[in-house]
Amino acid sequence: MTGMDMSQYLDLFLEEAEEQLQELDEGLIMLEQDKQNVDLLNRIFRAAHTIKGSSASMGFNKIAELTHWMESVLDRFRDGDLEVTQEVIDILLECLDTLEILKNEITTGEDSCDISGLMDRLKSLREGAPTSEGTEAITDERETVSEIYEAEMDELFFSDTEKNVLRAAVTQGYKSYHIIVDLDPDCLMKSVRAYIVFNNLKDLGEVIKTIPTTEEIEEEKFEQRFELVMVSKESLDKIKGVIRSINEIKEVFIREHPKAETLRSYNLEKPLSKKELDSTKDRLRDVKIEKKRVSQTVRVDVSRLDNLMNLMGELVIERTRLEAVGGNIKSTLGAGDLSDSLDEISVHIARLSGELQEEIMQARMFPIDQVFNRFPRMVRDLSRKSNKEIIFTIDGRETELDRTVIEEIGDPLIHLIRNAIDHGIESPEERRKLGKPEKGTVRLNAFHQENQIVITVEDDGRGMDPDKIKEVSVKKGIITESAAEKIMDQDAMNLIFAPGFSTTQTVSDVSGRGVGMDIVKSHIERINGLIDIDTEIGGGTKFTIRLPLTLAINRALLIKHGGHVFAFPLGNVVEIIEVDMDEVQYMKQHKVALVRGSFLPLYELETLLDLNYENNGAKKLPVVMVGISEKRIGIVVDELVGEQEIVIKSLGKYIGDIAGLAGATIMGDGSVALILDVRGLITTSGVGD
Amino acid sequence: MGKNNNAGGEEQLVVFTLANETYGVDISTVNEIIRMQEITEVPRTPDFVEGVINLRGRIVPVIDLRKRFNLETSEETQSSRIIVVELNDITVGMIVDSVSEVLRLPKENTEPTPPMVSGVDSAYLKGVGKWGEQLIILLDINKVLYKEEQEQIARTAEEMAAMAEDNGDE
Repeated sequence: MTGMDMSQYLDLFLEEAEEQLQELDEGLIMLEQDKQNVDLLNRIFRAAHTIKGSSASMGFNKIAELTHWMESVLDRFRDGDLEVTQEVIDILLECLDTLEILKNEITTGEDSCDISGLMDRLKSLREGAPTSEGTEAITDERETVSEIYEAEMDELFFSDTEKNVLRAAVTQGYKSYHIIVDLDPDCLMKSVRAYIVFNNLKDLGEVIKTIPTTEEIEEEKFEQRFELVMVSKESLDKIKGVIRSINEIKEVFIREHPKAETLRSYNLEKPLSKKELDSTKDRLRDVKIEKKRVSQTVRVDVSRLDNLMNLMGELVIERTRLEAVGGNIKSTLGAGDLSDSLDEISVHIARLSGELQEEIMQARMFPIDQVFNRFPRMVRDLSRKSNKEIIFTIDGRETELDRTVIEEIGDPLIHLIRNAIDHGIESPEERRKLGKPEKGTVRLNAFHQENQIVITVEDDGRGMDPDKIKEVSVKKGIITESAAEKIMDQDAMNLIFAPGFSTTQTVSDVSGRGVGMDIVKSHIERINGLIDIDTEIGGGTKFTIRLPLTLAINRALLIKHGGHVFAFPLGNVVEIIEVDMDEVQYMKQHKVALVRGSFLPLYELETLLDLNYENNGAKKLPVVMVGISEKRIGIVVDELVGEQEIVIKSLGKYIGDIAGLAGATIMGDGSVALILDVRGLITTSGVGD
Repeated sequence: MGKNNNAGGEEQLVVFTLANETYGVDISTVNEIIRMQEITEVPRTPDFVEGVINLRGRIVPVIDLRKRFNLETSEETQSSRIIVVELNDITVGMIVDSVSEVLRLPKENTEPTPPMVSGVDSAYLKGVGKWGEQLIILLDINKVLYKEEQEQIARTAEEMAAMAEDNGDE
């Protein structure tokens, strides 16, 4: 191991390992279906190889060893002397799980995971593997970790571009040098010294890579030591001499590297035949030594994106103000050239800021595949464990969501899919008896709908029986028997979200659903989402989750109550109805309205918020039906004002969090309107308790 | 707030009136002084919190100093002003009857707070200053913003959170 501090690479390593593990996971599942796919196999191989290389260099020997042996097995797939069977895939998947554990042990600092059993099984799979020539022969000889490390270290931190440059340079007669420079411990301006080193080397060749990066070196984010790789036609001694001549350099280590034959192993494909090799050489000759190309993506700190979004919010407010002022001018001065051009500008700015907002939101978006991609594996394991055959389909992988939403949505989906398989889908025998296809189907789908993301989890299993749900709820003391009699079927479904409803055993026996549905609910509430259930006994169940596109800028329904303007986030508004106050009914002394067969509890906004309020005497009042996950209440207000884009601003630390309020927003006329927190209002109302 | 006290030992004060008494606050805590404007009430806040205003795109809470000091409340007048103070990253507007001047008060003209000044709890004060014949009550902004009520706000917030949790758990 080099003496340099590896901690700065740890995050990078973990991130990369995560990606590669995911790649492996997906790849192996696909390979099981598509056994002859060579491209796929190569992709899997590369992923394993990357993990092996980086873990060895970081000193995570167990990971390196395990991936090394996985590689050997994959090799046998490639050579065609081992068949891709479910059993082998099982072992390889088990390796992935172990790698995951090992990776987590790095973060927790534990070291208890034993890999010897798994290693033996891998080795037995590999036994008798004929060693082919070239790189594989080399790999096979090097079975101890330290040797693997030696071999891999060279290529460790090179990007593809850098490898290309290196390859091209070497074929053109350049030599590649790995240089380690130790500065004098007393050296005061380390970055300046490093700069002088680079500057003097410029005349001798091209520096391809530095460790740490040049930016970090400029910011003096390194101890006494930095490393660099350069290509040059000069001799080793000459380069060493040039560096030595600089002041405050304590030591210079330099070696020619990598050797030409090691270079070939950068290419992770199978060793090339003579003919192929020649053609590759030709191609390489065409590649000029190019400057490190600027890559097409930029890593940006998330806080910077958040900040951009905030600024965008300011702009949206000013835009709204501009529109309001424009409208005022027009109405006071009448239409004219001046007010017309102001109109025009305001429309133009509205369009531009709209586009800008779109772009910024896009920058914060991730495809939901990041969450979805771990599900095929989960479904495979669950279906094997429960002896059910499942057809699992995913649609809308490319649907993009705000990163804050992505972080929250994974867990609820896991619960829903698991429930669908564990409890929703019947056993093959049962399905046959019912005349259903033996294989059950679970469908996961994501798509955009207006300003929302909709995710559905659907199965063709046994569905949920409202009567049984009521029965269980009464047994568990969630509702009283008399309440259960009055409750509508649709409302009964929502009882499964009550904490305490779901203990696996009872529920799976009775209604066949409900592990941790309250967890699902709380996650979805946290990101202002809604969840609905559609179920048919014997026909299956469909959960529909609706999520806001973004959390910072929202469309809102503005209402007026007691002379003040309030904003409801539109994502929580289910619908608006008009209720004649003389016709409200009472249930347990509480006002309710009958809406399409369901009783909707009604609340006046002033009671939910402790407002001073004087009744304006109107009989027919608008009621805003709002919801969080499965709960719905109706809030009676004085009048509707309209729909508008709002930017949520906090009320600040001095006032702090207030139940029922999500913050404040600035209206077009400069006044402040309070934004209602539907979740808080529903909690205050006590509905669902 | 020593940074505006020069070597001679002066304190620069923003001087304002409240119920016929003269008060001063250290100018370094004062961001700006604005005219009265529309204040949006915020429910479930202590009674001296009047609400929030839009200060060039920022949401700033406003407190009524008369209510804060348990003085008799009065109607807003032409000379009413909001003094916007900033302390430890928190910006708050304080409604006062009028703002009269900015002056430099030599340190030797100030004295610790006598136990009782004009009905205002001495806990909010850091002393009194003499300016000619005039007595200036020097406010301790930190205590004005935070004393008791801040603790109370925190308590209320906790209670609410606890309530919310209870509700959620049922």
